[in-house]
Amino acid sequence: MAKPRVGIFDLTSCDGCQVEILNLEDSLLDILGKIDLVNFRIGKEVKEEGPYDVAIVEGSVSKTDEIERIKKIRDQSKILIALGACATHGGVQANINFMDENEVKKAAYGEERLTENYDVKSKPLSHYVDVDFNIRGCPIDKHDFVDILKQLLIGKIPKEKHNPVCMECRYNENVCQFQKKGKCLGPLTHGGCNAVCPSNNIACDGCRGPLEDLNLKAGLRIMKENNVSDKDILNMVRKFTGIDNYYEKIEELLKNGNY
Amino acid sequence: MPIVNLWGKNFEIDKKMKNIYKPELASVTKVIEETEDIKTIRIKHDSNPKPGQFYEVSVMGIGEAPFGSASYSSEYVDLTIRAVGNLTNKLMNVKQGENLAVRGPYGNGFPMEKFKGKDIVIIGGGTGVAPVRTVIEYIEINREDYGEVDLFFGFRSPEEFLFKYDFDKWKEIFKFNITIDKPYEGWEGNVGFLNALLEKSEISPENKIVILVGPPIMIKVTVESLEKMGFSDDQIYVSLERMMQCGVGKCGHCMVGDKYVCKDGPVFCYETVKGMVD
Amino acid sequence: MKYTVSKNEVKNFLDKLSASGNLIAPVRENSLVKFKKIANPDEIEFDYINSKYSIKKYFLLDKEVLFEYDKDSIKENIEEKQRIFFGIRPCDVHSLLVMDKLLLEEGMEDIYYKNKRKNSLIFALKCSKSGENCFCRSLGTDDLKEGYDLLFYDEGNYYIVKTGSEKGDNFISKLEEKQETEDEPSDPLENQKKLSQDQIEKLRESFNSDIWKKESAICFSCAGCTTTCPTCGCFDVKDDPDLDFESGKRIRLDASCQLKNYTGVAGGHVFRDERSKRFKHRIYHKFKYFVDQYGSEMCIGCGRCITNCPANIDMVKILNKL
Repeated sequence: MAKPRVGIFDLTSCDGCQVEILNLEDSLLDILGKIDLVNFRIGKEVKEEGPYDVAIVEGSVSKTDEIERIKKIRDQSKILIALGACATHGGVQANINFMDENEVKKAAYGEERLTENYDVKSKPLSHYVDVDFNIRGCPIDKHDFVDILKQLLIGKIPKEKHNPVCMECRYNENVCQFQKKGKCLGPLTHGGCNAVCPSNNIACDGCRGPLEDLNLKAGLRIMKENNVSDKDILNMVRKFTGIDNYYEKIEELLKNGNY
Repeated sequence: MPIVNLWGKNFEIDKKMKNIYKPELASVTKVIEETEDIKTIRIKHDSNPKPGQFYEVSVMGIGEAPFGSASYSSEYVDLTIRAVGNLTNKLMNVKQGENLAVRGPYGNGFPMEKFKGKDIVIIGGGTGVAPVRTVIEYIEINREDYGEVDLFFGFRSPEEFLFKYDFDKWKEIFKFNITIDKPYEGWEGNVGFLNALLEKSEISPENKIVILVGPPIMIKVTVESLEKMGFSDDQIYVSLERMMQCGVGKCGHCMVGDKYVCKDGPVFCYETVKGMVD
Repeated sequence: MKYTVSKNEVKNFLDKLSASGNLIAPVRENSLVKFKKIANPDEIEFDYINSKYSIKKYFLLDKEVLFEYDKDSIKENIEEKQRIFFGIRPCDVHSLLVMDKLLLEEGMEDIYYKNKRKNSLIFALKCSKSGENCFCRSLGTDDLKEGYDLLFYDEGNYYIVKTGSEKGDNFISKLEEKQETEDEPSDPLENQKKLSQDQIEKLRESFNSDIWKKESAICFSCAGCTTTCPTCGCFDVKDDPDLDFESGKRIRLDASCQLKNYTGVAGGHVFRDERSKRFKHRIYHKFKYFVDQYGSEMCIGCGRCITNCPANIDMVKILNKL
């Protein structure tokens, strides 16, 4: 059987998740023995055109030309995997979605380099194309990358375990951030990170995106009961998610005291 | 005071103790292509399942899933499998002479002893015909213990028929009824849903036991028909499906009320099923 | 048999046990009491109500390899490590007795659990103070009739020690300063939280009550309750192939009935898709289903599901509202 053609691509991002792939010293060579890696900008000189069996895309769509690029990658690929928080949820740069466009452009590119090309908000891949699987996190857990590839290679459709960060936080025998009078996005956030932040006494900032089976009102209620201000909640939520209407919905719930 | 002496006699785990989660390899002696996407895989196995029991079949690297036995034999087990997902797709590639990792049989099975002296109505829809085949084969062997036996099979079309090679034999021994969902070129038999065929048969509920296996919607409408025909819920036995993982009542997934479908079932009297609410 | 043993003698005893490298006992780490392997006996904490997290993880791991496989064999790797637990509270010993009913059922024994269980000695320590969420008195799990090798009662200046097994007798026989006694240990324990059997019985009529929807509105299914419950042992089974795809491991992972995909089947149907149904299932399992199956409550009254709920959901309060 021919080895599957795999391409790793990047849109607007820091490339950190791709670096995580390069950091897979233990298993990278074994993986490369199983796939035909035909496109990987930061790891390989030669680049081949599609079609691809699997395209793995880091970064959010935040420039006009990237819309065309992601659509083309999608058309050329059987399976599309979003790699990291930018690709799955718009990333930190999705903050521009809530700021004055001109201010952002001026700050980022300077007065003289303003072109039409930048006139877009930061969106996850799924805003423009169908995404088959997510590898979550900022940065990703490199083992998730190996795991999803292994499953695809063995012929299994990868299935995510949808649990909040809290569950893994308990495995690590932590004291709940709320019980320490802190603030935390754990209750609203997709786990899989082994609660690495709360376990190091840092509140979860939601990099893996909102949970599928979300009870938003209950989550906000806990934060409000722990005296987290509306502004803090919104800032926390805004840090990582550019999903359509998520921030807006929370803003509205908070404004109406509906939690 | 060395601690070793303090401890006294050490516990030792019996190395031969059965590990309920560990499958054993069983060789595939035959693969029968039933339909386009259904195969019957026969494995050499002397576990002699009760009718209605199931096995956990593994494909290493993919996982494990439960499959009802489709045969009643002390030498082999037939597993009739439709390609619907990761594991079953892989199982379609299994060839004669290869090994399958299997554990079981599990579950309660149909209480055939309790049915002695009764007339039996066996109703199977689609792949639900596979688990009822164990009941049929059991009755074939213990024919004198049971009264009249009516078989009712429903399939989508003749292309979907399972165990075609058994039909002639069954027609001789039992009352054999079969229907397909929609008209099909060249088919001269019954067309329409199973429950309609059942109602038409005007079977009396007297001294009868109904064994009913099929998709949930088929079970629902068939039970309605049976009730209309005067059957009571304690005459009807069904086999339930749930999310199952361990198959032995430990992992918790298949629990409905105080019942584990894998351990207390999968066969339940319909009277019990009505009380099983999430 | 009952003995009085001086505190000093018990300390010597624990010193020796810790030298063996097999001793697991409570220690205090950043205000949190945890059970840990003891290297230095001075680490052992005696002044605590209970550990925030139970000893479950020593018997049922969050992630456990069931076996390793390759092309033509399946090999399980069962560790036989002897351990001595000192300081387990009676309620938590009861949690092991509950798990035994499920996992050591005759003919269907979970050998991974059995091995850990049989290679563990239980030196339990009776509580003298109750935590705010404890309700062991209501369930009769505040003391022990069985399930221990040694049971220590703190009587101020000395311990009363009960022996509960041959191995316990063996240990106690090595102690120099001990005296047989007929005295009953004092029992000052008083729970604030109470739950009567009558109230538990009301579950039988409350399945369709709207209380479940109401109370679960503030639950976000974080599984904090099930992960910290000492008697919650549900699991998922998953294969982890090696990159050669011929060998690999089958592992089991902790699962929670509070998560939506717990009852999801192929094709997408979820049997308990509503949060309130999952919420209700846990409580019914603890107080009704398990009673129907095995004759006793599954809940041992430790209150950890209450303490560890970020939404402050209190199962006992809810049961008392029925």
